[in-house]
Amino acid sequence: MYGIEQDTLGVAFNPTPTNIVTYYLARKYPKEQVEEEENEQPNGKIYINPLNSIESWQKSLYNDVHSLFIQTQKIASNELATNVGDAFQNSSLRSTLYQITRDYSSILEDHTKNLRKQDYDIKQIMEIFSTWEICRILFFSPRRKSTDLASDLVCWVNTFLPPSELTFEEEQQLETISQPQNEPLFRDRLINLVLRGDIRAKELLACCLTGDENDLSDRAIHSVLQTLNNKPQAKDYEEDQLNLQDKELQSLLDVILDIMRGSETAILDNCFSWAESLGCLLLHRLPTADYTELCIVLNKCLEGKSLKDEGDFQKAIIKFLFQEIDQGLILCLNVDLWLSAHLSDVFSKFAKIGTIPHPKTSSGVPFKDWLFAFRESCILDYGELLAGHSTLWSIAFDYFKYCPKYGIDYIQQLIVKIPMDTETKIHKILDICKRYDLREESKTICKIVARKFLREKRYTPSLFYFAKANDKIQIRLIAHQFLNNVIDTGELKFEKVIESLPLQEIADTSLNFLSQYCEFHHLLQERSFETAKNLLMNLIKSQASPKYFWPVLLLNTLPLLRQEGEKSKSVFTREDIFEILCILEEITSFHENNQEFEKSMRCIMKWHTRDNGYDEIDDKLKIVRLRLAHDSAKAFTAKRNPTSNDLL
Amino acid sequence: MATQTIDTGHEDLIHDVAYDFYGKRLATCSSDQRIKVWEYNVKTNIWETVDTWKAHDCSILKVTWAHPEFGQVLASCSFDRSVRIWEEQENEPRNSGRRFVLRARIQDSLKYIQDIEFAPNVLGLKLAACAADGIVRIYEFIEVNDLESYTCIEEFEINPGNLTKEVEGHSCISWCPSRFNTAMMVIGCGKEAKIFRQDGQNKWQAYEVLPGHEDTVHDVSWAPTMGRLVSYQLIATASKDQHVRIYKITSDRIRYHAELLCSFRDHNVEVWRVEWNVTGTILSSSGDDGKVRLWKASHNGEWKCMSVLSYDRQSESSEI
Repeated sequence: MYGIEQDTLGVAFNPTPTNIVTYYLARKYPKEQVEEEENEQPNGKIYINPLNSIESWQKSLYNDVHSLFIQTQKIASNELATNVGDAFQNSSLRSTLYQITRDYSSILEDHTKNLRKQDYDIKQIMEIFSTWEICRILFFSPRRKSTDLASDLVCWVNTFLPPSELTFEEEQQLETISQPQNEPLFRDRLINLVLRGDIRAKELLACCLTGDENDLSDRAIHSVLQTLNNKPQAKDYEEDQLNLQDKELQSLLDVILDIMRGSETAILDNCFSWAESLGCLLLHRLPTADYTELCIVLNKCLEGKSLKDEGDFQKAIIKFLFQEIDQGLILCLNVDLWLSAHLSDVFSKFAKIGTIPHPKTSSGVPFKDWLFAFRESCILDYGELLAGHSTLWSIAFDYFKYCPKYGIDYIQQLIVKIPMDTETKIHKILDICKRYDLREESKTICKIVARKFLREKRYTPSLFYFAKANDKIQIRLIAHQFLNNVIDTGELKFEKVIESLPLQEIADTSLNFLSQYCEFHHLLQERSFETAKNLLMNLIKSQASPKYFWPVLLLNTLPLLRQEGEKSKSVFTREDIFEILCILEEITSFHENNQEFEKSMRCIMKWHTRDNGYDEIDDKLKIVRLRLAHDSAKAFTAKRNPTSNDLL
Repeated sequence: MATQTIDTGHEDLIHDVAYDFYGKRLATCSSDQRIKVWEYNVKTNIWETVDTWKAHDCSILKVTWAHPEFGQVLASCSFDRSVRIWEEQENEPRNSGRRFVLRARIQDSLKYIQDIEFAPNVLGLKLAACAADGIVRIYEFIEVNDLESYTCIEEFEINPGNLTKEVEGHSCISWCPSRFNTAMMVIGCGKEAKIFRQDGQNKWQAYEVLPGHEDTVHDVSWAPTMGRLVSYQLIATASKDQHVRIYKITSDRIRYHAELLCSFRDHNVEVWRVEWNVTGTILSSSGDDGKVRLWKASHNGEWKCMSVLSYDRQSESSEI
């Protein structure tokens, strides 16, 4: 459809870690090259589609678990660096790591509770939490008793797949029923509670009692209640047989007893999901199941059930239950980035101390190698997600830090992409660069910041950051801009800028020149002529300023030269005057017909006027020459008169 | 994830959309001869126009941002054969039509300019432009504070000897973004895509040919290097032969080798655009099927389509 039109679909990736895809109808060829179809309505719409986003609850969770992640890395690296292979230390590390997995659980639990309180959709966090918990039960928990695995799994099923609660109407309906055993709602509810080992089953079953002690049905119900009370092993009531006239009650009690006996058929027939079946079979039939038995039971639970429509969360759980850790982790990628990153991280720590099974991976790569590579890939993806967030971005770099293979590349690539909205953020970004010795990135960031300040005409920070970036060319250009301003106006508008810069730290020739030039004017104002002269002579001799500024420097000698009729002492030595004359000669002859010099002189002549308190000047600076000659003559005369204490 | 829509208000079809370095600004250009610059307002979650102006005398085909260390600088190229450099003037009011001032109007080509791209910032402020006559020119702006001064530092033919012939419809360009490598670029031209770099005399020459193309190469994109620096780099191409291709570029220190890593025909129609994400881990491609496909390497290095975004022309809506 698009092919026959003049347009196609264009795509652009937002070049930041936010991974936003943008697409739009794009014209294929220049309009001028093709015959335009008539009445075509242009579609100028752009569609912006973020691939990932962070909800407020995720932001809070990510913030809370960050320190736990760092703690895990530190503990693991410290312990493993010194004690690999040491059984005692491994055991200690294992219990520390297990405690960390429990801490993660606590945080997840707290967040789930908070979200529930706020009537938030908790589906995603429940999937994360339940996957975390199943892994904790199956792989991280140090099991002490043979019943631990089954009881933990039963607890997991009841926590994350609790029996569905009755609605208010259903509860009212049950309360008004005279012979509840005949009601499907009652039967289903009771059986479900029995399946789950829920204590409320007894209360519900007691509703069937007539109160007649001699009634056979009541006696049978009491017997079953006793069984529910004692929860004896299946074999203990294997022989119990009831023969009641009330066939509905008879069948209900039979089902209850069958479940209590651990009848596979009764349990599987009455469960709604594979997970519920698993929990009930473990509770009633195999309370001491080990991993091998768990797999057998799980296979039974999954028999005849298609997992095609199940989400990746359910599939991941099944893979973990079958001990296929690699497959489970791969499926977790589609559940949640946080989950896959943190779960694979914890798995890799346990793998290092050899406490988790090492299944064969589908790629044939040794499991440990696969796991370490997978962990890094997940953490990098998760870090990338964080780096694109306006407030979580700095956490991202802590995650990259613990990715030995590519972490530093991610830091290098993404640190420059963090928008620098505030000064604090700039400092934080530069601190990260310093921490990882990213000199080039730091320079780039400083240049960006400096350019931004320059656009805003904020010269102090601009110069500061250009100096940090060691961009001497830009500093020189700005300094020239300042000098040009002096040429244009005769004023030192940059004085405050220079004063507020840490010049010793920056150590730049152009800026030092400007600073000394300002200092010269200060000294002049304070009438410290001798010091001012020395400074001016240094500035002239250093030739640090561009030649187009030399006329200004030469004109600056005028206040220091003796005026007509003045008898004061000259501050210039013979050498000084000689030096100044040489320079004067150089610029007036060398720059003759030089546009830059002429331009400077034209500008200076505009403000260097008698009206402004200066001497009138011409474009050859004759006034300076005359004053120098006059000063020399005076000095010469003074020399002939021995009473004079003049310098010359 | 919610899709946000910007109604650009261009009076004709858009040719190109380009994000700035931080992804906070968008520049759009169209056959209506106008450029529009948009900025994302974090507080309102809305893309607002910064300015709109008539930038060329014909359709504007490409627009691209310079690295922010050179300021807020945009380049555009057009069917009017010119490349123009625009710089933002922050003292001018927004939406005044004067916010971006023309700094340079470069018109060296006899044919129209098909693609432009600024070089990586480490190379300075340089812009490569490829024209419909198969000539690539590289311009350098030595003085960033004075963008009016530029020099054409290089001019070379993509297919030497083929100069008189219009380049079979299309040419496209993408610089190697790595700061560790010598300056390189991949250029698509006709049915070929080649890697160019400077020889011993600093002349740009074609070296490796990216194999496999059976029809016009519509777009090329060199991936950010990331952790693959030592081992390899990636280049993607979009072609009229309906394929998205990813090439692996390796180096044995003497020369580079281009190997076709994978080739996808999922679009099953002409593919027009390819672009990498910031880490070079996700590739986007789009084509005549009205779909954007996103390609990602799994943890074992296998490239797969991770997602498809659809554009529905009839209802002018989009869906994932």
